[in-house]
Parts: sequence; structure tokens; C-alpha cells
Amino acid sequence: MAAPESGDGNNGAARMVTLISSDNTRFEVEAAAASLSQTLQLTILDGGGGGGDGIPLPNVDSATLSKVLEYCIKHAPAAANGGAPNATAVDRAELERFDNEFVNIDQSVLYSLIMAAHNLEIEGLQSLVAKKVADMIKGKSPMEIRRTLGFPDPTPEEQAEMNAHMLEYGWAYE
Amino acid sequence: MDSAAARDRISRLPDDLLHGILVRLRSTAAAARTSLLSRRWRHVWTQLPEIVFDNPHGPAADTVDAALARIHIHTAANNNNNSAPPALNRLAINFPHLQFAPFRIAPWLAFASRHLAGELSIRLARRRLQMEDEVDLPLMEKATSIHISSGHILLLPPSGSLFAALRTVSIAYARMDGQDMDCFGSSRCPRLQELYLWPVELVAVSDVSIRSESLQTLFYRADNTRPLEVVALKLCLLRAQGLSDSGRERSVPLQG
Repeated sequence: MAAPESGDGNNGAARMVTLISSDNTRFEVEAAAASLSQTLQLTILDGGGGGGDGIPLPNVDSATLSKVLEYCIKHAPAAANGGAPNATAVDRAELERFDNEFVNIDQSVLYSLIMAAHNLEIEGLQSLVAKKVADMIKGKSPMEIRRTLGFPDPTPEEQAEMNAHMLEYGWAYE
Repeated sequence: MDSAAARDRISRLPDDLLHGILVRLRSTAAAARTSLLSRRWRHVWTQLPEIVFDNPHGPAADTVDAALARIHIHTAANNNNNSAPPALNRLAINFPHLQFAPFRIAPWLAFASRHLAGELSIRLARRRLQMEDEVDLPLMEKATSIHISSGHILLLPPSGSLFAALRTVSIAYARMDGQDMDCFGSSRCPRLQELYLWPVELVAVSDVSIRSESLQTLFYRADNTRPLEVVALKLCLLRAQGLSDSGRERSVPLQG
């Protein structure tokens, strides 16, 4: 395998990059993991993020970023294998177990993750989190969804409006 | 419990992220139920890139009609606002155990013709054929694939119309007119790569000719074909079956 000049970590130590959260916390991670983000990948390919520079991420706070990176680090090896054609069933089961655990989190973190995954263009994370929220909605009535997603109780006005719409949307309940 | 501001954070996500969530419900009816959550959610479901119906319980056709009517209204309203709605990538109506009269299906196809830029999938139960069971397939200029499985007589649009984006067609259990088959040729479907007519039945014994410069795969099984002529420069896979006695296929898979 011909090693590209920038080095892809196959000559000893893996290349590291620094990411800086909106609240100025610095995270040092392997370039391979950060590159799960399409947005970061471009910067990293351009040689950015190394040395003392760091890549500022003004839309992602440190709590969210550390969660995002946890995902990227876990998924980077499989992604490096190009969707892991040679991944064993055990590897895949382990990733699945990780994913299920990973989204077992507070809703506010979930929504921060959706935004971050979207901004950073991390496809796998986007679909993982969106699916988690979809599963929270699935098979529930609007009132149950409201409670699940933490909507405040409807005002009498809102309740009347909901009832009117319920009549109009009867077909959606068959 | 958290403060009011911290609650209901989901409603503050931008529309396209809500679409990403709702589309994973894999059910347009379930997505439509979220319209009751609050004003914020009223029309979010109408702009999803995929429309899927496959719940056979209740009045299936009425549900499809009501949903498509709503989506049509909001799409039209958005067009007037000059805010282009996201493209509709997929319309899937799958009720493989239910039968529908042609007049129920026609509006669904008309909707696809107007809004779809992607994949159409309609799978319905085979119907015992009646004379009036004709369904007109309207022109779908932006459809990339069309999958239809039903027992109707499927009439293709008249010549002069172009399925400019179409790459894959699979039709099963329909009855078709042998003369219509030239619709799958280059002059009408210039990008068609895969064609599965497996199985279909021609309404009368007839010669069939398909001439395509793009076709790579052809599965052809149609009773009453005599003969089948295929001229396809890029054809790599041809499977033909069920031709009538004199109906040997004459294929010309020239190496292009």
C-alpha cells in the first residue's frame, strides 16, 4: 500500500488533530476518528487541526463534543475498513451494543447530538440518533408523544385545537 | 423536572432534522399523527422525502387519499411561497393482500406523476380481471424507478412522452398490450438499465420488440408473446420464459 504524504497512521503513531468546542475546551483525537465528520474530513485532508492550531467548532459545546467523539472513536476502525467488509459478526454485534447504549441518554443530550451530527455531517450518528427519537414516537398517540418528548401540558386552548385536528386527522389513526 | 425552557427541545430543531426523524417512522400515517402535537408540528409531516403506506388495517385507500390530498395542498402552498419543498424521493403503497379498483389507483399515479422524483412502488393483491380493469400509467418525468405489482391491465402513456430519468422498471402480474412494450425502448426511456416483466400477460397474442441502447438487464416472462425481439447494445443479462410456441426470443446483444 502506498502511503500518502500526509500519512494515514500506518507509519507508527497515528496522526492527531485538535478540536476546540464552543466553550473553548480542547480535544485531541486521531484524525481517522475526526474524519467520520464529512465537514472535518475536508479540513483535515487540507492538513488543518494539527500542531497548536486546532479546529474551532463554535456550534458544539464540550459536553456534546465529547459524546460525539466517543461515537467517532468507537466507529473509526470499522469506517476505515470501508464499511468493514471483513468485520466479524462479533465486531458488528459489539458496535450494535455500543450504539444501543450510546443513545440511552437524556433527551436534551439527544437533541444536541442531532444538531451536532448534522452540522458535522456524521452520517452514521445522524441516523442513529434520528432512529432513537423515531422509536420514542413509534406506536404512540399524540398525547403519549407529548408526554414522552416532554411537551408542557396543553392549555385548554391548545387542547381544543388538538381535538378539532383529531377529527380532521381521523384517517391517520386507522 | 427541568424548567419549561429546557422541555420540548425537539420542537426547536429545524424542519429538515425533524424530517430525518419522522421519515424513520416508515409510515406516513404515523408521521401525520405528529401534526397534532402542536402548531409547530402541524405541517412538518407533509414535507417528508418519503411517503409510505403499508398498514392494511382500516380503510387503506381512504387513508392514502386523505394523506396525499393534504400533502398536495401544502406542497402547492409552499410552491406559491417560492420556498421549494424537499424532493419526494419515494412513494410506496404496499397492500399486497388488498384489491383495489382502477379508480382508486389512478389518483395515486397522478400524484406520483406530479410530485415524485425518485422511486415509485405500488404492490397490491392480484385482482380477478374484469374488462374495465384498465389503469393508465401517467408520464413520470422524474421517476428513477417504477415497481408495480397488481392484476390490472396496465396501459403505458402514448408515444411522444419521455421517462427521462427512469433507470429501473419492474412490473408483475399486470396485463399489458404488446404494442406498448416499445415504450421501454430508447426513444421513450433513454436511461433504462433494468427491466423486469416477470410475469406479465399480453392482452392479445402479439409480437414484441424492445430496442434500447441503455438496457443492461432484461427479465421477460409474458404469455402470448410471439416473437420477442430485443435489440440492446449493452445487454448483459437476458432471461426470457413463457413465450408461445412460435415465440422464440431473437435477442441481439451486440457488444457495444
